[in-house]
Amino acid sequence: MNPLLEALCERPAPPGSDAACERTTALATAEVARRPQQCATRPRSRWTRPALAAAVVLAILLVATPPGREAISRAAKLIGIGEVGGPPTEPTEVGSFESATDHIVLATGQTADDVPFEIVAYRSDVPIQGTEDATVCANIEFPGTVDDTQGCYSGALRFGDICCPILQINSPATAVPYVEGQVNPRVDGVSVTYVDTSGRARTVDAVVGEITPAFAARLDVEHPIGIFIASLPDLAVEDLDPGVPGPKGAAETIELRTFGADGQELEGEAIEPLREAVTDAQVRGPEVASALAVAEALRKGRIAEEQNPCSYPRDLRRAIGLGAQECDRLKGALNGQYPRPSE
Amino acid sequence: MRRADRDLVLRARAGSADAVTELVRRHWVLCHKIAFLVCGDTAGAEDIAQEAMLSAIRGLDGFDESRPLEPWLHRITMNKARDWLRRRARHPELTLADAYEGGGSEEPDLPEYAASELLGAIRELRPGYRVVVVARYVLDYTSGEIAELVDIPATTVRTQLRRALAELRMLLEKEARRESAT
Repeated sequence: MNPLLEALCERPAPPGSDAACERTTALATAEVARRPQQCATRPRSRWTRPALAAAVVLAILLVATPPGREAISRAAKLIGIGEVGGPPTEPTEVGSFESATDHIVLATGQTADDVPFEIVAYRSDVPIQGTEDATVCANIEFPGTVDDTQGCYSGALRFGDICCPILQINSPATAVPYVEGQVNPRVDGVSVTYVDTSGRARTVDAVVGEITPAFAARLDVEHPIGIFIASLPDLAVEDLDPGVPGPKGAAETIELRTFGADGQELEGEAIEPLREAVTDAQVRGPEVASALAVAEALRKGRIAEEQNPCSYPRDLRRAIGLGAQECDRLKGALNGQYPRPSE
Repeated sequence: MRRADRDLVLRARAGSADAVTELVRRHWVLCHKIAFLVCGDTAGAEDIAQEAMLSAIRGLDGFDESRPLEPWLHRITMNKARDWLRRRARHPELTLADAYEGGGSEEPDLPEYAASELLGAIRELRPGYRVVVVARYVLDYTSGEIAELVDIPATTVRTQLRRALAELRMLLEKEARRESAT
């Protein structure tokens, strides 16, 4: 056998391979069952029925009993990553936004330094922006580490293609900087172009976790969103000035592009570029753009004037990325001091 | 084809769910690994391997059971991986220089590194290069077969292989430097 193929055989399977195999097996057998049979299949073994019954009992024990669920959880931890559509490997941090539903893994992946992550979503009945729309919360979780990011959103805002992108450069989970943010449902793919340490432009595709119609039904949300994360190996951040918040120059080199389900690049409506540092650990999307998104929602009547999110408690404002400075800018935007976004 | 595979194929064609299950389970892991090596994305690899398996099951009637099953499955997997990359392609991998340079008749040799290191570095290559390198050096395709797979001239395949291997060497050397520094 080719030595590389041999080495490939010896490598561990990608995360979630067993479960994916079982799903594929189920689809494949269903596929065959739909086909007209060419000849009779062999008679069922007399053990088939008892074996099936035992399998059903085992499945019930695993799914419906606490020890069974614990066993599944332990198995997931061993694998290191949850399954898409299933529960996350570890309990999700919910903060102020208590969950009203199960937590669903939307997507899984690995950073450039092979740290597995899960994109997890749930619905919270804690309102955002004072609207009646369901609150959708989405976390990016790195099982086994303390680094989780959370964002909660209301369908009422209907942000542009990308909302609130954040560059994480000091994650305790991964040594590789990553950018993450939210996308609206028409976005199927996100690519990130940045300048690496050799000065070359590099482009990577983000992992996008989408709340598909099936997941939206499970979460009972009307306005789904997507969440993306892209690991940026060798991002040029050497110009980070110790003690001064944020990397200087790194975020400006990053360009985000969005793509539809057909692979065509979208026009990038209201993509918020990464810009301004808030802490040493992250760079938040520019307050002006976020304020404009809110202002647009207010102006178009999607949320009422009295529902101005800047009047909400501080933790809610922080959860949706509205700082005091941003609220000042929002006020400015509403007063026409900033250019309004195009219709 | 291995006897067991042949029996499974015949039984699967006849509608045996057990045989289909066995076929998928037996060949899933390697197809999944190949998909992951080429696309470098967990969800993508699962989609690719799943599509490949389902396509294979649907196409079993057209499969020549006197031939080995694995290369056929790997070819379907590579086709699906190529389609997946094309769907996600943001930048053309084939540059004008690739197209006009011409590849010559020689295929470059893989640098001499441990297989595990090579596989690690292959994952770091650009997606288009990953396809040709995996096809040539992991699955033993000829330039002509790769040309058919990715729909470019065989000479361009050889150019791409040379460039891919140059990039691969650079990655391996960089990794070696990093290791020696630590």
